[in-house]
Amino acid sequence: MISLTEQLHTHYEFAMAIGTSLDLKVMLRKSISTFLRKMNCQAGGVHFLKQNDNGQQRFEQVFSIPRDTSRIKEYQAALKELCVEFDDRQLTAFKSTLPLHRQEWPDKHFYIVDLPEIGILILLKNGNKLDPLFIKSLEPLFSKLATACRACIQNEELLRHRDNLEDLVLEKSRELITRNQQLIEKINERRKAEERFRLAAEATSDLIYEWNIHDDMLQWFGDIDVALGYEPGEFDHNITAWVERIHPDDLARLSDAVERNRTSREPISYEYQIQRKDGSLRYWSDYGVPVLGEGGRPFKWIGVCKDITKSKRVEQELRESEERYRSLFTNEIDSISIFEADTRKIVDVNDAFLTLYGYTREEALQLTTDAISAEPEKTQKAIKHSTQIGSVFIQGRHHRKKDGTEIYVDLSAGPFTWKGRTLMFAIIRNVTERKKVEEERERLIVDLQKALDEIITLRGFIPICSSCKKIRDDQGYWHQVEEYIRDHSQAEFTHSICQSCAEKLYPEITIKKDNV
Amino acid sequence: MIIKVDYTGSVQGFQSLLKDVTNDEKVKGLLVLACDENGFTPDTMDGILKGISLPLFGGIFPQIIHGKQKLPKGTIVAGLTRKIDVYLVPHLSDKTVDFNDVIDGLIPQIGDAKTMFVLVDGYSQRISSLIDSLFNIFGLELNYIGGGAGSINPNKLNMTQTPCLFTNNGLAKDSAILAMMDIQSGVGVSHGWDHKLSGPHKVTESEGNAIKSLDWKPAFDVYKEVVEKHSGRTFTADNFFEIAKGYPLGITKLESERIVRDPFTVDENNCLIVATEIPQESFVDIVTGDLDSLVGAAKKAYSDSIEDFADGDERSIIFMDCISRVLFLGDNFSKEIDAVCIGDTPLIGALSLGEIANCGKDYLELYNKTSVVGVLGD
Repeated sequence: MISLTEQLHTHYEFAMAIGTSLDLKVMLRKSISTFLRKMNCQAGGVHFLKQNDNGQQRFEQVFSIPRDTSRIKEYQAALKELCVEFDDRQLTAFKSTLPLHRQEWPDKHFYIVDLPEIGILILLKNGNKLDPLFIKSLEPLFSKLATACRACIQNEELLRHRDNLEDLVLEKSRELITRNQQLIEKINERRKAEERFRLAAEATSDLIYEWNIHDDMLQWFGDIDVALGYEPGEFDHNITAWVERIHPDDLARLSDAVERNRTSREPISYEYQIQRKDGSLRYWSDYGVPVLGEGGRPFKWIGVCKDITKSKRVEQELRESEERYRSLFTNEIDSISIFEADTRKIVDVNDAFLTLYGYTREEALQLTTDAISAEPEKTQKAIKHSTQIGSVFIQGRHHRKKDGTEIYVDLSAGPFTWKGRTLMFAIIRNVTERKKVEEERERLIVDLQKALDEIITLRGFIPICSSCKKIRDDQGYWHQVEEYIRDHSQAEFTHSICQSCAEKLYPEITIKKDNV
Repeated sequence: MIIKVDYTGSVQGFQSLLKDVTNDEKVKGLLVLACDENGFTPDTMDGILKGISLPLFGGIFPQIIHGKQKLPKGTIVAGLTRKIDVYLVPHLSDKTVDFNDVIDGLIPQIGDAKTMFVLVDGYSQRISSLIDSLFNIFGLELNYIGGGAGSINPNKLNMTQTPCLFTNNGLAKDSAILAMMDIQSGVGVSHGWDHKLSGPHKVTESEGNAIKSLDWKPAFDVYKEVVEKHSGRTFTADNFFEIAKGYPLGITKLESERIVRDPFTVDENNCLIVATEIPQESFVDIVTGDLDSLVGAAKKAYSDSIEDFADGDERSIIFMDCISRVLFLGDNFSKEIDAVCIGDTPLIGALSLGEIANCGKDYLELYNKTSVVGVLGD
């Protein structure tokens, strides 16, 4: 028989063992071990009521001492009192039987007590059975144990939520740290880039600027003072100072642009003349992009000004040169055609060409060289040859005019590259008249030659007798010199006597003279 | 069980015992009980123990028991003829260790084991936690028998932790040995400290094994008042244990014998220092006993063990008795041995620092000032 004092002390120790821990495992380990120790039980376990998906309820063991109750036959006997699944009615009926006591074997008892709203507690005891009144007196403590279990479960849920929250905070913190690191890296990269940018700006003649719209200040990277011929710091770094240096021809356009760019988000690209302090003009190109702030409005512009004076001048010279060459091309008395080397399509001709061939410009630009050549095969071969060896001079080639008239031309042709295309030029000179003259001359020459051919001439070796001076003809007959010459030339002889022969033959009448 | 005794307590004697016992082919494991006075140290023992191929376990106790003899010096080597598995649980004072996990890892299955010897370093701080873990994991599927090893100087109460557990790797301290064997056993536990002097007193403040206050009064003051009144003696600076050994604290268990806790000193804050921790908010009685009740308890323990021994063919008896009972009984302790050493059944045992036992019916407990009798079928 348990005394009232013992009961009270036991209640107190139970209550203290349940304690205030919010860790379910810790709380159950302490409280159940105290229950078992104080009541000298061999085993005990807590089973929570769980609801299945189908709405049925069943008891699940959440804690026991010892942990493995499967080999304790008394405990398994106690579990048989629990249906696999309870509906509400069955559960109510079962709970109405609690606290339940069974004695399946001699000196071996099990008890099932209610843990209100959470589950049941199973206790196994050897020896004497516990006083039912004492078990009844423990009900408030079992309620306390149930309350403690619920508190622990709620705490676990709270901890889970907290953990989730902590995980979330941790995750967000990690994200923030990562972003922060990325930002720091970006800032560092930007600083390095700015430093590189500054060094690059200083190292080049280009001027980079930042125009802060709100105060119209212009920050220049690069030596603006040198660029405009000012002393260091003399040139004000604001938009007004810059506008004042714009050439009057460009001022209106640039002033409008300044106002427009206070709200525009489109990149800008301008060329203008700017006046240095000494009055000389420089051409600048200006390319800028806006830096957008809240609402997508630009709060600053970053741009680069490049001195393009040299290139402008070169461009101008080029233009003038081109004009000159265009004039030459146009005014050249020889015909000039430009055509594609591969297709032989004519892409440009001068006026002389049009005059010579009788085409309009539009018609000419529809032609190939084959159309103007009376010897297309030769022309094609010559073009191919020229593309391989360079410029060629071709003398005497028949071309055909629009009206079908053939003309005779000399031409110089050669390849050149223009904008990636292989073109050829042909300078064509109409030599038809000259050809005619030359042909006439040739004809005269031929005639002359014929005439000459008709003149009998003596030539070659003439066999002559050393003594009598007769000459042997081709048939072997010997002739007097006079006879031979008369027969083989158009020469006629008149007879006379030389001084020496006269002296020799006619010494008596000969007058000594040097010559006759 | 083959039992050999060396009364010299020498290392050579121990080696000789080991040789004798291990020469028997039937022997499959060794239980060693040695006296503190032997002076065994790791230096002298580790080499010898590492040379033993058979599973070995045991302890160094203040005194050992062989038959009806209480030996202050000497060694007993018992050869067990059934297979045993020995496990060492280290760091028994480490508050961070979860012994459930440790034991789970060491012993996944108990297999055919029926009895577990549990020997602990009696000065470790968390013996109760180990006991709770054993019960949590194995429940009452096994019979447990064992106790706390270690040295004690009853005159000086000089309680220092020294290597006191025999293992195949040498002497160990601050550890527990769990030796599982498929030997049938019966266990009886009783103490005889039945006479309640006062209580229940609420342990209003405690920390570990220090009881600070009882009923919100300094613990020693409450204890002193009751004990001095009953004993007619007065506590002085030097005689606390001399008086207190007869007045343990009892923790009530419903319909069962109290668990007693042995106060062995008082600290400078008038805290009662007991051998095993007493939880705060529990209730204790101040109890006492006498020769008859203690010897009667030993008898009961013996008879309970015989009753619990299902086999009915006991081959040996293990008697683990608390050293403080010897200190209390003095020369009358022989009567306690006589109470359990009956007939021809060989008996060996030790005077221990705390006892561990369970006969398969009660909640597993760590006892003080208690007689534990284990009957073995080996």
